[in-house]
Parts: sequence; structure tokens; C-alpha cells
Amino acid sequence: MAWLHTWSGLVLSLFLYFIFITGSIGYFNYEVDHWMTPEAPAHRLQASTEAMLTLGIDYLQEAAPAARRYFVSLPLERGNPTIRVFATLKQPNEQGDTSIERYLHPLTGAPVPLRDTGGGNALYRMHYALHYIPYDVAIYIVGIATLFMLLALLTGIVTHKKIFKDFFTLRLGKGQRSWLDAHNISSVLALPFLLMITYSGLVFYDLEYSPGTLFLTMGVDDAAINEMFAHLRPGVQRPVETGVQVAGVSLAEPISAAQQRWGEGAVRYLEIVHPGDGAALIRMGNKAQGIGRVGEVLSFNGVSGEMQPLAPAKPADAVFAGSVLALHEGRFASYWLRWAYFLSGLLGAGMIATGLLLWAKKRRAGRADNVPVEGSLVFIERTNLAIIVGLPLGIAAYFWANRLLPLSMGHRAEWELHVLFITWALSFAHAGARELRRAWREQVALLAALFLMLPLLNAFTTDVHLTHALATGDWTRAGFDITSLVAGLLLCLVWRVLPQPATPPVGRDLPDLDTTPGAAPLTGTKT
Amino acid sequence: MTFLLGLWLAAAGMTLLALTQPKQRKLMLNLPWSQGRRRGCAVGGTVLLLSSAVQAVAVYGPGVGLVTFAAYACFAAWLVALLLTWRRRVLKKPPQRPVTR
Repeated sequence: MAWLHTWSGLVLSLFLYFIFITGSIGYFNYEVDHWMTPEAPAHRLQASTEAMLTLGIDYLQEAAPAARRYFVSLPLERGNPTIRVFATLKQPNEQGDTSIERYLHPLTGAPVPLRDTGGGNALYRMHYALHYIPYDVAIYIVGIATLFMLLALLTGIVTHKKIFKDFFTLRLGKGQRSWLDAHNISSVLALPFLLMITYSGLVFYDLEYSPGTLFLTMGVDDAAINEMFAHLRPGVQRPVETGVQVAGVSLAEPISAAQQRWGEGAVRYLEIVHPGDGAALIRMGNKAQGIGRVGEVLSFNGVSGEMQPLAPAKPADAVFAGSVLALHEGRFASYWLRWAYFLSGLLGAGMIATGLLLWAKKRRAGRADNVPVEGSLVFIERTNLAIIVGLPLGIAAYFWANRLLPLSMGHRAEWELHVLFITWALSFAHAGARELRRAWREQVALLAALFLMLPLLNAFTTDVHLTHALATGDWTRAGFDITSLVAGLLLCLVWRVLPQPATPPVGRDLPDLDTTPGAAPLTGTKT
Repeated sequence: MTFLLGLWLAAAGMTLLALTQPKQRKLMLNLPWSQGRRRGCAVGGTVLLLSSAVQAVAVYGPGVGLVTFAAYACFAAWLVALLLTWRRRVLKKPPQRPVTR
């Protein structure tokens, strides 16, 4: 069982670490979006729901008169306080786009020119769709990695002999023992979260990961698939366009009906399917209650304004699947609980990192520091550094790129992500080229410096710097800067406890030393 | 603030549960320990943990409340583990020799 635990955890650890780090940041995707778009207004502005929805629809009717669908999303409690409008066009426009997306000022309805950025959503998306890899391939890589993770967790529970006796035990400064303690404590204390997040991660793509289930139970034709979706989402109407142009109904009545049912300010979005057509349908949704992904949806006839019958209750299996997915995404979470999600995700990443270091440490055990070791171990030790520190370095560089890349740059959002991966690749090169203890210290120092100086960079490049954000009560942007400072300070502490690099004897290459953080500091080799 | 209240209830519960283990008890309070006290800590710790669960469910509802309680328990255990690690470091430090002139 122990070897199964070791190898199931190790084989795809690069992907798992990537998934956990980017997924953890994804819990603050809207907040990161807000920081990465300094042009957006600082606060939610006091505008009525009806006024904002009307502004959104008016804008879309002018910007995209021939569209299949309009979608207006109101400012959220978290993140960007603009109205997001989206239209799916019937024909590609002059720029060749099949859709348009804009962010509008909530009071004036004027488009807010936000910089082209991937924001927090690009990081969030990468945790399941990766990057530079086709989506259909990426979800299978992520699925296999998740399956390995689940296996590693279950075998870890079996192999952990003193799960209760060592429940609170973290002994520092004891070499391999300390790494085992750190690995155990980060996994055992976050075990409910880790099991939930891994299992629910597999449920997201259940049909892709086990297509046989669908084919064997429902058949393989489109009718069977439609039947299944009708079962999972009962009452969802898909109107067919008639081609008859009619004047759209006023939105005042449907909005008023929705507000009467849910209360003032509860509408989250408004959607019009086939606007201006005889089959037009208006939908409005509210925030999900409890642990659910989707709130209640009200539908109205887009010509008469008549309210449609409410959708019947979902079947138990759909409710269960929705709850499992909602648990994964944590959309219901308050700020406290969101931080708990975020830190638990980082604990998961810590568990993977300590597992990697422990594996290398075990292979080092019993060998003198100055005895050369096999190339595979050297390779793994260097790769460990580039994985564990290199990825956060790339993410820090991504934030820097957001502020430093020219605003007029073409494909700017893509280049932000290129900067992330170029930095990560450089971290691999640096780990391979430098003496390893030195490389650890240099990369951690650089990472600390990047995070510590991020608020400073923000102050030099925008007018929404930390003091301004604090003075105006823009807690989202202030929180990002403060978190960056705290991360930088914690990394300084890590840097302090890293072993000092060894001084090579004159005229001799340095042997491959035990470079794991926490290893006994080397005082130099006598010549 | 309600979140912090639940977290502190759970942390107190976890601390009492940690005291039921000889290794952790020796670190925290190096005192003679009877079976009765051990049982008292176990019961007290369980009651405090349960009360944090009840608090979470009462404030956030059954679904979100249970998730919140899981977060309480996880981070309360972390707080106790960090406290014990700090105690271990304090106890490990050699006593300072008094300076005599």
C-alpha cells in the first residue's frame, strides 16, 4: 500500500501542484480580476436593479441589433462593480467576432475601457483546462491526475499508522522526520477538504470520464442525450426562432415581478433569448440559496410579458450533483469561509510539495553530504525546486506583467500568461544551472521580493494604490496588496531558514548536496 | 465575528482533546494527570466541538453550517498544532546561564 501511495502521489505531482495552486487562487477570482483591472470603479454604486438591467439591454440593442441572445449580469458583492453585458451575434461583425462583451458603468451605462487581461479567471480556468493544451485533452489529464490524487489520499489514510496519535504533531528541525510530520499534518488536518475537492473534481466531468455509463443506460443517439438533460434540468425552455420580427415587451413588469418574488436587489442576471423575435424569451435568475450552483430562474414570454410556469423541482440525482459541484466551487462561501477554502487549497499544495521533498530526502538518507549521488535524484531535486517555487514565481510575474505590459499591446491577456510560463521555464533553467542550495535561496528571495514590491509597482503604475484603496474603502484592492505583502514577509522567513549554500573547494566542482530546505547548514568544505 | 466565535469554540475543544494524549499533554502542561482529568478533557473537548457545530448550523443553516464547521475543525486543529510546535521550541531551548560579574 505504501508504494501505491508514494507513486500515485508522485507521478502526476507537477499537474496536481499546478491544479491546487491555481485552483486556490481561483477562490478569489473576482477579487483578482478587480485588482487586475484598475480602471474599474472602486465600489458598488447605488443604482437600482431595474435601471442597471435597462442600461445593459439598451446598450446591447444599440451595439448588437441582430443577436441570438442578450445577457446582462449585475455587479456582484465581490470584485468588479460594473455591469457585464454579452451578446451572441447572428452574423460575425466587422471584426469577425461572433459575440461581444462589454463592461458598463452602473450609473451612466457608458462602456468602461478595462485593460485586456486574463485576470483571476485565467488562473481559475487553468486549474481544470490547463494552458497550451487543447481543452478536450486537458480535462482528461486533469481527470487522471485527480484520480491519482484520490488514490494517494485513500492509500495515505491506510498507510498512516498513527493518524490520531500524531494528529497535532509537527516537529521542526528534525530532518526527514520533520518533512514527514509536515506532510502528514497538512494532509490529515485538511483531509475533509482534500477528499471533497478531489471527489467533486471528478464529478465535474463525470460524463467525459465515464462515457460508458451514459451509453449503457441511455443509448448513444442525440435523443438519449437530450432526454438525459431534460431529466437533469426539467422545465428548461429552448425556444425556436420564428423569424417574425415583433416589438419587445417592456422589461419593467418582468423585473418588478422578479423583485416581488425575491426581494429588492436579488436579481443577478437577465437574459433574452431571440430578442425581437416572435419566440423571444426573457429569463432572470437570483443567487443560489444554501449549497447550490444555480438559483431560481423565472421565465417570461418576450412578446406578451406573461410569466411562464415555474420549472418543476429537480430530481434528487441532479440536486446531489449540483450540491457536490457547489461544494467544490464554494460560491456560497462568505469571506471567512472563502479564506478557509483558499488556505485549505494551499495546504493541499503544501502536502504535495512536502511529499515531493520527503521522497527526495528519503533517497538521500544515510549518505554523506559530499558523496555524489545518481543523476536521477539530482534531476528530481532540481525539478522539485522549479515546481514548488517556480510556479508561484510565474504567478507573481503574471501580476507584474499586468501592470508593466503596454496597454495597447495586441493579445495582451495572452502575453500575461506567456510571461507566467516563460518565468516558470526560467525557474527550471535556473534550478538546473545553479548549485542547488544557492538556487533555493535565490528563487525564494526573488519570489519574496516580487510579492513585497507588488504594492509598490501598483503605486507607480496606477492611481488605485494601497493607501488610496484604504482611504476610499476599496477593501478588495487593498486586500490584494496586503496579502501580497504578507506573502512576501512569510517568504522572507522561509528564506531565513533555508540552508546556506556550500562553498566549493578551489578547483573542484561541488558535489550534489542535500539541498532540501531544512537540511543541516553546511559550513564549507575543508581544502 | 460569528465565524471567529465558532472557530474559538472549536480551538478550545481541540486543545482539550489534545490534552487527552500523553505526548501533547506533556508538552502543554507537565503535570501529573489522572484518568478522571483525561476523561473530563475528552468530554469537555467533544462538547465544545459539538457546540461549535451547533453554532455553525444555527448561524449558516444545515448545509453551509456543516461546511463551516469542517473549516472550524480544520483550522482549530492547525492552531493547536502550531501552539504545540511553538511549545516544543520553547522547551527545547537551553536555559540561559546567568551572567555573573
